[in-house]
Amino acid sequence: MTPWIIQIAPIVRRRLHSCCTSLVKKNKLPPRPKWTPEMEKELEEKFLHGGRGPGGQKINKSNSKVQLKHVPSGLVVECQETRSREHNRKIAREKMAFQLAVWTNGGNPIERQTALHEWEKQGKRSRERKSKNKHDRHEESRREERLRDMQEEQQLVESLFRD
Amino acid sequence: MPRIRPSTFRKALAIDKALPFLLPECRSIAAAKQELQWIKQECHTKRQVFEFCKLRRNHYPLQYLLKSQPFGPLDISCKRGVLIPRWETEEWTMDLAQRLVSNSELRLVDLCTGSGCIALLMKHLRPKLTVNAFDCSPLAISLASQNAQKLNIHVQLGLQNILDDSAAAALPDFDIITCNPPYIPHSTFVKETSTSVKLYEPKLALLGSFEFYENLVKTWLSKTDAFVYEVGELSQCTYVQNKIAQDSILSKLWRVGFKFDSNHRIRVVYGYKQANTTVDWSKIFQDFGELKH
Repeated sequence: MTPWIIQIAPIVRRRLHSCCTSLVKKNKLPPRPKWTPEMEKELEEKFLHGGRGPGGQKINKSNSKVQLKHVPSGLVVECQETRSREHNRKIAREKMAFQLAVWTNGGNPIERQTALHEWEKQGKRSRERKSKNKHDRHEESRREERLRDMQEEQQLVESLFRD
Repeated sequence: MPRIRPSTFRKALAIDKALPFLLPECRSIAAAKQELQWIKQECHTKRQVFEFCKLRRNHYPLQYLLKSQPFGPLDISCKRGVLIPRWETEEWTMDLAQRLVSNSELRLVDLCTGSGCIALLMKHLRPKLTVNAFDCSPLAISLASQNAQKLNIHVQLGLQNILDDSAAAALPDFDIITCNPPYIPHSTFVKETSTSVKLYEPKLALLGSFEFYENLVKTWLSKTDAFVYEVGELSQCTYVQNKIAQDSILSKLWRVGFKFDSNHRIRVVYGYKQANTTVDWSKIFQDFGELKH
């Protein structure tokens, strides 16, 4: 073989692989939309603590809900996942940043969403492939076993006849 | 309050066996699910989850079960015998702290500190403040010192009944005074206070009408440049306003305002001196609430 072929071979191999599938990696997804200080100016923030009632020392509410409204788009998000109001505010802002990114994209899914969707599909495909492989392997071994059994039986029958 | 339907209980039972116990306090399945999740985060065994949920059915406060309550960025420990910090208090304290310049070296006194939430949060957000906190309950002071130690925030705590005239006399002058006094009058305690609060929170930290506001005008106003007091009803606000307006010297020197919480309830009465102060309080308290006097 000439040295030229030896040099080119790995590159060709890699190209062949890359044109087949481009895998999405979970740790290299496009980043989440970031919350920016400019967005803060267009917000209306509301704290909901179960509406009516005297409040203060008379009531002891364990939950707190934060509602954000983005005025130009009319988007509304809510968060009451944690007991801490500060934490809820942070989570609500992350949610809002995400919604806004979708909104500015004209309602179409953003890069991260499509990548995540692709990642899920890819995982499903790989699971299916693995399960198919496993079933094939087992099927193969079963067939072999059956064959062996038949052969043994045949040998037994033959040996009986010989006697 | 409308009763919870048996069908709701059945639905809750289908989701989780512990869920129906939470319904009387949470009122809806969504809220109960949320609370169950918080309980499960703190518990190690299923049996403990059940025990907690059964206590919740008896209106035992969640904060005493989980032993903590988030207060701004802090996590305040809670114990039987000391009032649980409320979100209304958190709201005005955060607002007040953010109004102070970040390196302001003011002296703050927090009265009726309870778990120490206001004092600790102020000191945490504005570390240059000098903070003194007082309470008349030994339980509260021990919990507050525990909290201060756990959060590594330095505040000076003192066991003192602030209604005593001698308490103020022993202190040097300071700049601002914050207080969340007991403000539920006996007349409305039975009717308006929720079962959980009535049964399990200390009456010492709840019951009071005008004592603390009277005490404020009488003794503490002379020691301070500004005050922020939480209130339960409008009459307590107008009481302070009238007391100051009626006094010829005080009325010239002091401005008084009311602040509402985000539930549109009157929550705070505040005031500041117009002259002879270390900082310009009128600028700090701009738009904090409505000025009335």
